[in-house]
Amino acid sequence: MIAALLIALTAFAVTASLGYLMIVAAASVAGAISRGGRRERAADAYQALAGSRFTIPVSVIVPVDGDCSTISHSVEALLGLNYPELEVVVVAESLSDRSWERLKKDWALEPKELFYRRTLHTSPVNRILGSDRDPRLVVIEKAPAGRADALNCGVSFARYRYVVSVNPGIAFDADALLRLMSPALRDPGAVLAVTSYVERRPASAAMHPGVGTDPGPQTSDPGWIAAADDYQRLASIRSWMASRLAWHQLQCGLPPLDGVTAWRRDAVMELGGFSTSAADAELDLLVRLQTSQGDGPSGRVVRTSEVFGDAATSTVRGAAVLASRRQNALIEALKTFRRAPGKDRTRRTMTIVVGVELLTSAAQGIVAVLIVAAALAGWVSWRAPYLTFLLLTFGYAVVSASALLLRGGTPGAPSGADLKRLLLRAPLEFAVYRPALIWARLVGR
Amino acid sequence: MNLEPIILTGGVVAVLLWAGLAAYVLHIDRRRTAARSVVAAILDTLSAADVRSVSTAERLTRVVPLLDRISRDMILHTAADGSTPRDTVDVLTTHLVERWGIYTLVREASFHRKSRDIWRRTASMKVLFHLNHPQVVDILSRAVESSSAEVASVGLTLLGTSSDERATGILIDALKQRKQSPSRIAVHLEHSPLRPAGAYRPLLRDADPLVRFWGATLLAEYPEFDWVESELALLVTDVDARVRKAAIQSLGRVGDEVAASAAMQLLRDPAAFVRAHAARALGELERSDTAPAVAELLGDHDWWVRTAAKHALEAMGSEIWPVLMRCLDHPDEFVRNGAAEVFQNLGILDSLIVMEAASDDPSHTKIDLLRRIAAAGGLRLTDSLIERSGTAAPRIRNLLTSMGLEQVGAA
Repeated sequence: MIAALLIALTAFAVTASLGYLMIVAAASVAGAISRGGRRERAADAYQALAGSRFTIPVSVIVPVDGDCSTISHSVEALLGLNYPELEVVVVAESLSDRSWERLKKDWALEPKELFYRRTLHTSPVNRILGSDRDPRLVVIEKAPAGRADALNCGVSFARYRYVVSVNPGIAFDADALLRLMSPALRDPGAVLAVTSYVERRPASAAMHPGVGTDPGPQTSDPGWIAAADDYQRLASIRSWMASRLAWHQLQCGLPPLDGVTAWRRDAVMELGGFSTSAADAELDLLVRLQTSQGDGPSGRVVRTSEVFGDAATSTVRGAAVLASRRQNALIEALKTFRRAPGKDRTRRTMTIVVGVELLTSAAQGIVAVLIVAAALAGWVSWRAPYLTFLLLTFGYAVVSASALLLRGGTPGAPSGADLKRLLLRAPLEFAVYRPALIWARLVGR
Repeated sequence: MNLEPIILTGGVVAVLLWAGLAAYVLHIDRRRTAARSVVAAILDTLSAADVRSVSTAERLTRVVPLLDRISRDMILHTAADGSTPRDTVDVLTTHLVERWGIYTLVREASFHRKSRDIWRRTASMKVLFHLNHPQVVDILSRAVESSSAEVASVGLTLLGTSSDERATGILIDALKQRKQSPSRIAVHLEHSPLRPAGAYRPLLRDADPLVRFWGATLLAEYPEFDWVESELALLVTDVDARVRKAAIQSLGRVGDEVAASAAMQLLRDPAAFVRAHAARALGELERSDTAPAVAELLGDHDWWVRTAAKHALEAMGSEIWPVLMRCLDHPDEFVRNGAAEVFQNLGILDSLIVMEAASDDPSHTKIDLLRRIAAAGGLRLTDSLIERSGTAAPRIRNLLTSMGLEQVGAA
């Protein structure tokens, strides 16, 4: 009796999970086909915005720590952005001596006492340095307290209405900030935040960090590229697709795995700044901004379909850390919704969006574990796990191919040999890379 | 448990779907790459020195075989691309008109049914604008009212670069009726080649404060007209604080005596952002004689006003140091901090301390001034000073110690 019940339950769980995964894959394919293959949009005319005194000034916050050799390049590229008025606020925590010396020398930094309003509580600021080379640059050295605290410090110090947080490893072209700010410039009164996409690329194919020209479509074979780099790129493109499709249909959603966000400073302050206890402070704030209607700042969060730039892929361990952080952040978001359930549509929609992202990985795990367990128990033949494995592997590859189709219509998309390699490697992602990621997460604990 | 048929079917479907999608993605990529290489060949051919010197009709003849190899969409896309050279656009637009007729372009530029047709509409608008088509202003006028932000944006951009006087009228009308974000419209009016100062004048008397605000803001670009300063000065008593702010901000850029007197008046405005802009205006006008009034704002209850006062005082230059000195003993800590920061940013602190540290017989007056600045700025101000002074740091440290400021912590 119990065995029959267990068999029935297992069959139901496997069928339901597979059904769910098929629906997700079908939605991806349908979304990519309906929106993919579309002609590239002619670039917006940014000249007028770039030269206008009505273009809203932006404070760019760059949190850095440890040994950051690219920081000088990043500052150079940020100050070289095609944007009429901006300031760059580097918030340094535990920066290595070598990086400090380089930064000080390259930018002729000199300590200065600048009195500013500490609107958000942060760890103590040790000193503030201004640049003799470019007065738009300020470097704040503060006691280490994590990325969120550094962002809060930057927000406190920022002079302008919008703040943009940029990691030093990101490469971009000169119009990147105008592209990001475009929705906010169209309607500054209503836009609380704008998110954009940063693509993970193998270091050989990526632009030099911070120094930017759009590499355009990659048609030449960049040579042998480690599979892990390709899988990180595929994951990055898939997350962009998920974000884009969800946002298009629901007018709200989650940002991609990597991105750059412009925040309206007053909205950040109203919600108490970036949470220092959140797994991913920026994702947490984006979720709070979208779901705090009525008891928070009024306005909306916008997602641009533009690509801000790209960042080099990391090690498998690094990718595992990022994936784990994302998962924890999503769980935190769900817990927040549970603690304070709201009745508004956005909150319900966001619960579904977050749930779908979490459930997809869970469903894959459930199917894999249950089908093997069923085979071990003799409830199914050993052919079933192999077939399931085939289904999951190619199901995953279908979603990746859909993402590549959608990505193809936007600048900087993989092309030629690059694209072929990504398509061919896609089916092996579930079989090879996912176990490696899980292993790296387990070992890293 | 017989799950195998479901899993097998699913697996086969997944494999076929992956193979089909992969082939489709590669096919699109190949088509796109081929089209791009043809476009590159067209651009190369048209930019060759011997081709550039001949007539448009002749140049078109040279590239027709290439143009026949790509779709109309690709030609339209290339013609509308801002990076395509102007003489190449001439050839491409001529081909578009000769081959598919001007009516097709007018129809595409006039409306779109689906979101995927937006790019075609905006591209056709650009091509018609390039051709200076007689209907283009009407088409752009309709575009400004479009619910699509992209269409409206392109409409505004083209109207902003138009030399047709109707374009300015449409933009001003759109601003008054708030058809799009006023700041976005103002960006394009700001760049209008017509420089329509006269068209902004009536805006200053509009019943809508937002229209008055933008009228005042846009006039900051016209210092050459005598009436601008006097008209703006009338708005410093406007009932709407935003209008007063815009008026004083523009006066700071275009004004002189009237502007300074208006700014002085607004330093006591009830709205903090108006006080802040009044202070900034005085800084921009470099009216150091108004420094005492601006320095009072260092103790304003609003932080932005204090910051604006600091920047304004810095803009007035080092000659205002006697005013700053008086602030160093102010009972309000914010005023003392602000004055010390301005002393530092003007370089007065550094030059004073370097001179006195180098001297065997430091002046008591200057030492007293240094002591007061250091006390007003706090520990980090002196720490920063020592770190900035490089090789002179030991002497400066000694001097600060002799002044009773020995607890400075910088190395």
